[in-house]
Amino acid sequence: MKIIVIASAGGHWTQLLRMKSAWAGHEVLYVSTKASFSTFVPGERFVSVRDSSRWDKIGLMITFKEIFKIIFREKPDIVITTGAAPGVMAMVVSKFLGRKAIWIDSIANVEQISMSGKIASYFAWKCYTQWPELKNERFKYAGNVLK
Amino acid sequence: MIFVTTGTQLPFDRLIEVIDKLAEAFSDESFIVQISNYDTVQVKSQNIKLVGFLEPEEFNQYFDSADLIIGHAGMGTILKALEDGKALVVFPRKASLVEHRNDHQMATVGWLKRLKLINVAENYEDLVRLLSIRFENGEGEFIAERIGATASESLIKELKQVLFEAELD
Repeated sequence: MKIIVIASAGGHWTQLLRMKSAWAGHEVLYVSTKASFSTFVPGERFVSVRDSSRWDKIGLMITFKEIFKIIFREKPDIVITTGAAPGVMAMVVSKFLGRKAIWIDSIANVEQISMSGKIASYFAWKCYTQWPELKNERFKYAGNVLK
Repeated sequence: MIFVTTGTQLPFDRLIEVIDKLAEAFSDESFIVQISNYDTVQVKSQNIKLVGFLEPEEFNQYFDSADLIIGHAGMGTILKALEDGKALVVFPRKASLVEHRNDHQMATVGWLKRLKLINVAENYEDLVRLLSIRFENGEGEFIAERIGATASESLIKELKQVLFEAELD
């Protein structure tokens, strides 16, 4: 299957890579917000998108456009993300383009599901939280990225 | 050398000011402080070098050669330090001081402390205490744990299962 795996540079990306054996053997495109992060996945397909967050409205629109173009062009079977805002956009675009999307809320969100996660849950096919106390009808718990 | 990380997105002047003071107290140590591209802070200490956003290779070089990492409570810093078994002190950002969009860093250090995986400092005095333990045989506990390189088996198994399901559709 064709899978797009997307996460903002930093902790979201680090967490995503700790799960990479889950999609080994599939055709994968990695997406992050810093071009140099291709060095984390040598030999794999990688593109970067503009970083943005809720405090940067114009940036969000540009990032959205870039993500839309990627998903439209690649037509992945699955899109997987740990966030942050670019990940949410990937969930929205995936739903709109009929792709299955998986959201894994960051391990940093221990007291409540993140705002991004709550938004993403309206668009994603499957959602996960990394804390058993936070599981609910929309967020399943199946373990965490730590151990 | 002590490597201080503040992440890629937001300034963290309060930590940098504390490090400036710390560098005076621990004048034998050299400090490399990674700041985001949004920071305009100045430092007075001679033994501090400020660096901007670091590409992965450069970041790894500083990280690997440091005797101690002092980081904001970003999961990237924390996971790398734990994976590498590196001595780490975490200094969380606070939403009330507009250091982040919400208080998840405070919550992060809460559970990591409960799991006894990290050392936490919230002010100058905490940092002095922890550095004294680490470098000057001071009294007290300094945690230095190590974790494996992958997520929990159950999570990976779940994702593999879900991908398998999707393939059948």
